Amino acid sequence: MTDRAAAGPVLRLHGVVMDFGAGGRAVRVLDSVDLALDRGEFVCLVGASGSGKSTLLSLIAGLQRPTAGQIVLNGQPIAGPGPDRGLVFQTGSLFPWRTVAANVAFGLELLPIPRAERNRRVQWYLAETGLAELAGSLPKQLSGGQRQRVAIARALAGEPEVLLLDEPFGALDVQTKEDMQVFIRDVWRDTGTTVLMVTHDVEEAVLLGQRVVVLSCDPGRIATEMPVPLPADRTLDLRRTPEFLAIRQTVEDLVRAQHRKHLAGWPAAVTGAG
Amino acid sequence: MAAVAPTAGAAAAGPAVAGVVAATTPVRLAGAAGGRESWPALPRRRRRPARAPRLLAIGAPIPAGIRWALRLLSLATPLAIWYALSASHAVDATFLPSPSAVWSAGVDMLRSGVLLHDTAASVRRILLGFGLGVAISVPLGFAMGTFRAAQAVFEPLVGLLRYLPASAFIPLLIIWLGLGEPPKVTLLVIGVVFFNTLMTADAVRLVPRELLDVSYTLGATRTEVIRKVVLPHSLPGIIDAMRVNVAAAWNFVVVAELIAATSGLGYRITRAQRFLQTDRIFAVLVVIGLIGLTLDVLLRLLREWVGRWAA
Repeated sequence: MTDRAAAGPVLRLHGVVMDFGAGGRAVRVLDSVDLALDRGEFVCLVGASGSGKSTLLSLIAGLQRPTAGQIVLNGQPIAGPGPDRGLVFQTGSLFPWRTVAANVAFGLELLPIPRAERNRRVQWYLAETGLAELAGSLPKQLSGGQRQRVAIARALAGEPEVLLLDEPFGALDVQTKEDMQVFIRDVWRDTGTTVLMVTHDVEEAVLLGQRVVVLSCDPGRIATEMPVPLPADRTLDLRRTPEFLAIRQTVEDLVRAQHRKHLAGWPAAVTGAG
Repeated sequence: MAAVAPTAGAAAAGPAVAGVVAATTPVRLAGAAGGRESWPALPRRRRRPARAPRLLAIGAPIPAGIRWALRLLSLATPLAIWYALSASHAVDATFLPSPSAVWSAGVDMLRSGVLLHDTAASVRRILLGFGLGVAISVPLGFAMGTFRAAQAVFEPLVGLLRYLPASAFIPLLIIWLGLGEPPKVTLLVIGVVFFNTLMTADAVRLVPRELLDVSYTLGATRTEVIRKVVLPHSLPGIIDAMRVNVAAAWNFVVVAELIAATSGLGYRITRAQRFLQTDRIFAVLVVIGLIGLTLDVLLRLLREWVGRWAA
């Protein structure tokens, strides 16, 4: 834990259950999920497909209501979406008619703050995310990595208690993805924000997270949580060290076991009797 | 299949066992073992070395010079055929006046002020009828595209009404509204409103769910999402719908003026018909075509300007 971890968790999930559909045909996607995030923590949530990890983020963001259980932010149960939980999707979801700067300004425009104050903040986040040169560009002129930077800057501008990242680098090529991994660690260090990142990439989870949470499948439950006792100053080269590889392998085995279990629920014909 | 049976059996044996299997057995790809050796080699199709038929390559761009030449050709060819037919006197000039006769008939009508007067009358009806149609259909379509409840209420009715041909309302409109301007304007409204409503709703529905979700997480209220996200995102589509339906309005204004009118381009056509002045009919048709083309180009430019952010 870093010295930023102040008193008490910033986000806490109590027995969160999520069903899709109703009555006899309801499918349980998440089952009694308990999770707590300390202030300033960087936590990665990994799980095979079908583990409901994106659903969990959407519940925390307040876009959906859990069937049962409670999600508490700073001691207050959440009631719908808000800028105190910034959300970033896999593919940017930028407002295509707005320039980079205007995208970052979107949330601030909704608040009663003077234009100069708004611009000052937008400039700061553009500089922090390396987008200052692109302030006047439209999203269609950006690369995939640049779009994700804008989306992250836009979420950060609202000064969220928690930054929720839903497979933010999943659609990027490997080199861009590595750049972005370094980038998000830098942003996290500079802003001191709390990050909850969903990914299916175990290497990414171990490289970035101070803690890795593994979700099981059918329904999604928290299978394991494990701390990542690696130095705070993480570089891409860390991935070649024995310590890193050991942790990565442990987590990978856990995820794979969950994935097998998931496939076991299917008829052999569907899985190709893998 | 025998080779894969053990894994399938283990997988079916339950989660606990499957977990153990997973940790120890490497993942194997599905597929039947053996048998492929007896297959004949797939025949390969011989391809001639691509001597690129540039103009007929699917979806491929063509040189700008050729594009403009083809565009010119598409207008010049019918004009040339028309000219040839009338110059050779293959068709009686009463039925097919020569281009020069049409030109002078047009100039004639322009000089006497008839053409401007009639064009003004038709344009006024369009502005009123199409404007009214847009004023009704855009908010209605916007609501239908935004709220599922509005869609449920209006879609069955609008979907049904749009299949009723607007021209079939003419007798009713005359009975209800008489012979003045109201039935003509109403015909335009009927001709435009239903299609424009449904097309507007479609454009509004295209706003991606993720964009709405992200707006809410940035703190926007429902009203702000509508104003700052749904509206700007759907505006180009709404203009596109208007571009398609203004053409329909032009069709209907001429239809409306064929009946019981004393002005307008449609009226000018009926009047010319009575005196067998086919050159005048042609001239009016050319004017209608040119106005339509101009409107189309203008709305297209507007749409491209408004939607310049689109990839």
